[in-house]
Amino acid sequence: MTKLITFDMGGTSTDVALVDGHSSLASVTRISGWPVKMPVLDIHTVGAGGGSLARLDAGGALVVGPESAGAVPGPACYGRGGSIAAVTDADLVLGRIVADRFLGGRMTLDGDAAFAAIVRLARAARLTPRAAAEGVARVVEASMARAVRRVSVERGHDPAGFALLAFGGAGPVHAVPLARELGIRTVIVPPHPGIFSALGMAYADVLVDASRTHFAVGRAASPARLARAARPLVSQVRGELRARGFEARAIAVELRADVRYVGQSHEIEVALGEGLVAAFHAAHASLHGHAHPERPIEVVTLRVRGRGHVERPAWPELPRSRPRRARGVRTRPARGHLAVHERAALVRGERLAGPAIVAEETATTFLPAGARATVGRLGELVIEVGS
Amino acid sequence: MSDPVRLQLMKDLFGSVAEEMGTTLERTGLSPNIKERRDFSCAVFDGAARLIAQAAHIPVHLGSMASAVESAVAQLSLAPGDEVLVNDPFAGGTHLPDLTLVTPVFLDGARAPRFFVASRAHHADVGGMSPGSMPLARSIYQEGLRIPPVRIARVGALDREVLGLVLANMRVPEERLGDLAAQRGANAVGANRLGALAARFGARALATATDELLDYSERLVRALVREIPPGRHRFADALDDDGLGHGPIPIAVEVRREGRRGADVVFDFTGSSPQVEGPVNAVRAVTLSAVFYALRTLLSLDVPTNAGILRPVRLITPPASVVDAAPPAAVSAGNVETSQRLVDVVLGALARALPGRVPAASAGTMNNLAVGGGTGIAAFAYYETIAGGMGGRPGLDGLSAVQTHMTNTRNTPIEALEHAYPLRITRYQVRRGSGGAGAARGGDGVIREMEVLAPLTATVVSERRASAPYGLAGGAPGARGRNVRIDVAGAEHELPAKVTLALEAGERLRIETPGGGGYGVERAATGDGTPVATTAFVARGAPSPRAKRVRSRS
Repeated sequence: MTKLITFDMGGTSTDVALVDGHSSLASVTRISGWPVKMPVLDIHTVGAGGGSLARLDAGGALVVGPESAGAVPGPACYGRGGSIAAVTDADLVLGRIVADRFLGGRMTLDGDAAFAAIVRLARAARLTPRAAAEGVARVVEASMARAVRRVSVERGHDPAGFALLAFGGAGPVHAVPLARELGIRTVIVPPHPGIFSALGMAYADVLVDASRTHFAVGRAASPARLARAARPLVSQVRGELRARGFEARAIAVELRADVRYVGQSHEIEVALGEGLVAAFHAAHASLHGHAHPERPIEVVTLRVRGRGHVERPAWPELPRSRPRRARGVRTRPARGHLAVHERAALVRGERLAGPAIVAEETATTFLPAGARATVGRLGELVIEVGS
Repeated sequence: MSDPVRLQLMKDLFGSVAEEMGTTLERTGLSPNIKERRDFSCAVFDGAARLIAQAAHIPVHLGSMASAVESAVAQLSLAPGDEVLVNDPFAGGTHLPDLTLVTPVFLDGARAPRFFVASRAHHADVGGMSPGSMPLARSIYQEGLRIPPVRIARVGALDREVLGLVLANMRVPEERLGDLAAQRGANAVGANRLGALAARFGARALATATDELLDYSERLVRALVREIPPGRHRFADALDDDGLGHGPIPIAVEVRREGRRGADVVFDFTGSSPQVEGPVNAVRAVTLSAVFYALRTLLSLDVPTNAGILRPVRLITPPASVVDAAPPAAVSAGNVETSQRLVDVVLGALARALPGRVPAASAGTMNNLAVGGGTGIAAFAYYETIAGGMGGRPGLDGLSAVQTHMTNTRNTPIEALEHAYPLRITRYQVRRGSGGAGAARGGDGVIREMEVLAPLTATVVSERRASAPYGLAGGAPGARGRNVRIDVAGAEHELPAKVTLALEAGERLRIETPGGGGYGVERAATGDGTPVATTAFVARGAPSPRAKRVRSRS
């Protein structure tokens, strides 16, 4: 799967990014409000997560975030003194998470406190508690959808052609409704979604980027001459990776260039090689909807990316079956509750149908009615969202 | 779905339509003023030409874009696929360089448009007596091509005859064509997104939602109006001059509540100057924008920017005045300079009504610079505005080197400017010490100096060269701006606030922009009773007294 939209929803914020074969980079980012011109993963952040507080604003609209309950006091259901309804409280009231299965059962959520907080919101909004809780979820999912559109539609990609990779503590709770909102058909929930980002740190290669301004048009922009011009950057990048302890054979180097039509001032980054010109026209067409093969191009920046390959720990495959007693107890749904599956007890190839939830140590996956999940080889849940 | 939830969802959806239009325009525009500086706005209107959502682009377009849509509807009978171009300040525009493209959106075969989408972009040249179309003109006929609402596309096909007439009157037609294509693309994106929303929710539900959104903003602005105490809150300030030797030009406003239980608010500009010979006359739509903007700044961030904000507002403007120009007045600077002074007086009056919530005056000018030259294929026209200081805010210093109030543009990166035009930037720096002293200091202006590499004509239209941005609550005013020509020998010649001049290769132009006013009494003067001689520090270019005090303590 190479076409992914990542959806990392935590307690106070949510990060979304688009991966189309490779991850996309932004050339400018903001760190603490200051613009920094360096290549970083093009991640869009929204100030809303599981701990975001819901309120009725002065004009009578139901607003979620950016104020957050944090971990302390946390959502009302944490029982640490929070009394304002947070997204997690709405999830609990809606049965999308289970009170005694939070943190793998090591923390019990206070359903009464969550309900009381939602009732307060519902009174202010003149809604039933259920409608208020659904409203909180819909509003937060709408702002997530806007963030996804930012990284997809506004960059020339139709989200319907992507799978949504949901992680973070709250991501798998909201992923399927979000996918439906966006016309995305498949959601993937990796194992251990709540610590997926941290796991990524252990699996990620080390990257060293170097770039320099290099104006070139016409013959000076031939791939061979550009590659020659990039040589000092290549040595610099290799040197830095060797200094970090990577052996020469563990280092891969990739050359890229920022290219535009003469007269433009927004460049597109393409791989530097024989196909540079064709790749640029194709990228321009996909991003802006039109290309002009007859117009001259110019190269503005050379970029070299060195990758130090990290030995990755092997990921255990899931068994095709388990002894019956190890498969854990599946809760028979009580009236008004959803079926609860223990993720640790799932086997490879197993199929689950919504409405149901899948509980595990670091997150809960919500499968609304119409959604169907298949358990993959590495334990990932591949969900056809249905409608 | 229930109301508080639908309200929030629709707020989000309509807002994102306008935002996506803006992204398209920025991404596909051709001229630096559009693609780099984002000197444009995109908005969605309902079938009655009421503003439903506008992306946070250029505030001076806020109240004024609706009149472009109104005028298109009033003068033309529109069919699906039509696109209307307008820039006439006396028929829906604000000044000639702002070309507005209005596209009606017909849904489910209805006879009348259910929505309109509009994009307004500042084009670097629309003809007239000097390149950049910001001349020191005496009438609108000198300012450029005046376009009443005309169909530039009929039933989806571009009208090449109309387009040809338009482009023949502009100095760099290829660039205009590219920018207009980008505007058409933006409007198409907006129309498609509205179509998709209608397919999903139904046209009727969308209409209900727009009503609810307007009511929602109205409720919030009325809550603000109720906080204005009874009485007449007056404020007056002035423009330096009109560029043709007349000035100062007074602008005054009185804010007062009226109506049943004082639910409405009047902004009465009686006492402002009759219209003048030079181009600083503002059409009424600009004055309305200034009021809209000032109110919007006092509301919280999540209030949708829509026509509901203006429902409690009554505007009184003397006809044929600098705040309500009548043809054939020249108006190019009314949009960019007078609009800033209008905000200064409206916020000044609101500061008296609601103390502690309004900042001191910001730079109060956009420091417009238009240059152009060359002929044939080498012809160029360039326009930019230069940042200044933001006024000190209650409890917070003003920001330095930013665009404030009615404009929201970015700067043109030096690399982009030098790449595209025969100009070299020789200085670009924060103008230290130009912000007014106060408990919260005014932000500093900037110094931008450029060397001319080929002969060209430059027009500077600036303000706050004679008067200074006011301080509030005991804060000191910000420093006035300066315009300087530096000849080939290096001698400096002070230029007026508004000037058109020919520059030779090797000559330089330096613009020093005003700082913001300070807010509140500076602590040193009240703390131990020893006033600090601010100017002594400024003259030496040293850190401000406050910065210095903090450092010596640490």
